Amino acid sequence: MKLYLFLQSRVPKPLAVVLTGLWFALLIVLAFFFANEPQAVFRYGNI
Amino acid sequence: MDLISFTWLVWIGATTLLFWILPAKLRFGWLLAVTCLFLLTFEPTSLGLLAVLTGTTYFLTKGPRPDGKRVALAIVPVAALLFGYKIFSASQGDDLVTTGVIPLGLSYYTLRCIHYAMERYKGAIRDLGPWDLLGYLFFIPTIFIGPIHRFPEWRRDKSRHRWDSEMFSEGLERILHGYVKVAFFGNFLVSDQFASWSEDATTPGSAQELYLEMIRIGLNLWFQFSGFSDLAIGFARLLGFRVMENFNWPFFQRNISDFWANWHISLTSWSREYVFNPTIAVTRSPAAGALASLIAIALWHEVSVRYLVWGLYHGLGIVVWQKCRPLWGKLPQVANRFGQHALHGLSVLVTAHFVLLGFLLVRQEGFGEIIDALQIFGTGWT
Repeated sequence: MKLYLFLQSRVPKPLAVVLTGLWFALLIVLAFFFANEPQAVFRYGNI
Repeated sequence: MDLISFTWLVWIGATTLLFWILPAKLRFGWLLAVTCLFLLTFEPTSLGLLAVLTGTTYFLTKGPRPDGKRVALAIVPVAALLFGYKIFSASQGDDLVTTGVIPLGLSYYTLRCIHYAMERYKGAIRDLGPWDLLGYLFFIPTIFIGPIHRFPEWRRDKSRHRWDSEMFSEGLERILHGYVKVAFFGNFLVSDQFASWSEDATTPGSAQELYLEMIRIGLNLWFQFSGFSDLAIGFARLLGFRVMENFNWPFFQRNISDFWANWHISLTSWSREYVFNPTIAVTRSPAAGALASLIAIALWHEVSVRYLVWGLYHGLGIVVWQKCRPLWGKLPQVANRFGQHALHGLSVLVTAHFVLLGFLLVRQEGFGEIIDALQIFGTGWT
């Protein structure tokens, strides 16, 4: 949302929509493509 | 169960969907039921403990305003239980998080119970009945890994509860950010790629290897922990709750005090309220307050020598910074913009290295290994 509001004030609205959409598509791809990476042990003390 | 998994996404999705479909008066009962079902499935011990802690906290602090004895009776067993588990877990070897020596979420809901009891004692929270306390302590988004959100904010969001599409969208965004931080940045880039690169680029046992390991540990902690916090904050927003932030660019701060104001914010603010302020009230010494606060934070992670050393290291760091701060202001100021930026960058770099060294030292098994690591930094550059 912040990204969209930022872009909207600087570029035409349709372009802001497309760029925000592309950004979220990239994040979704990254999240799901690398979701099967072996989990690093989350060792921040014994919490 | 792993929180970076399709299963957890299904739990988030199903909980949120039914939460908004159900009539308003049934929604909080549904959240409570989900938490109980989840704990019963994956961590029955935790469900039992949480139920007992909630019951004792409520009954010992109920009424118009509980006296000190009753509040102490509520806090001491809760703190002793956590302390006992931390001592036990420290003696159980290294692979503790994955083997689950400590009941899931205990470290977090213990601090929430103490917060509730203390605020009842101060008169800052009215007795609103057992259901509000149950709803607060059994709040599923934050129960496992924080943030340690506060009762008044939770109660305010509950009373103003309504559908907010903007907040819902923010929630989805935060969950996505959380997944990317943990899966891509933490697991793939830092733990996999960076680790293999540093292994190839350095000699085993050298200071260079230890230095890169130090950076890897710090970055991994930040990405993982802030990613999990994003998941919790995002999930809470899907349900219409604003939970406090936990991280704010901690490795880009100019001094150690600022680092602690921006790293695990919900824990440091808890420690400020319930350790730092009472210590200052008794001793009138900010240095004693900082030391007590950082030692409490350290022992909350694990009751062991290495964490005690880690707490002292940071506590002394803050004390030294507090003492030097007035002198810093008396030094000649840099007039030009480039010089100011360079000084800023240098401060950030020094603070980050101080913190990263602390993370490396606390990963060592004991005091002897800490000395060995420091010796490698002193003599092991090749």
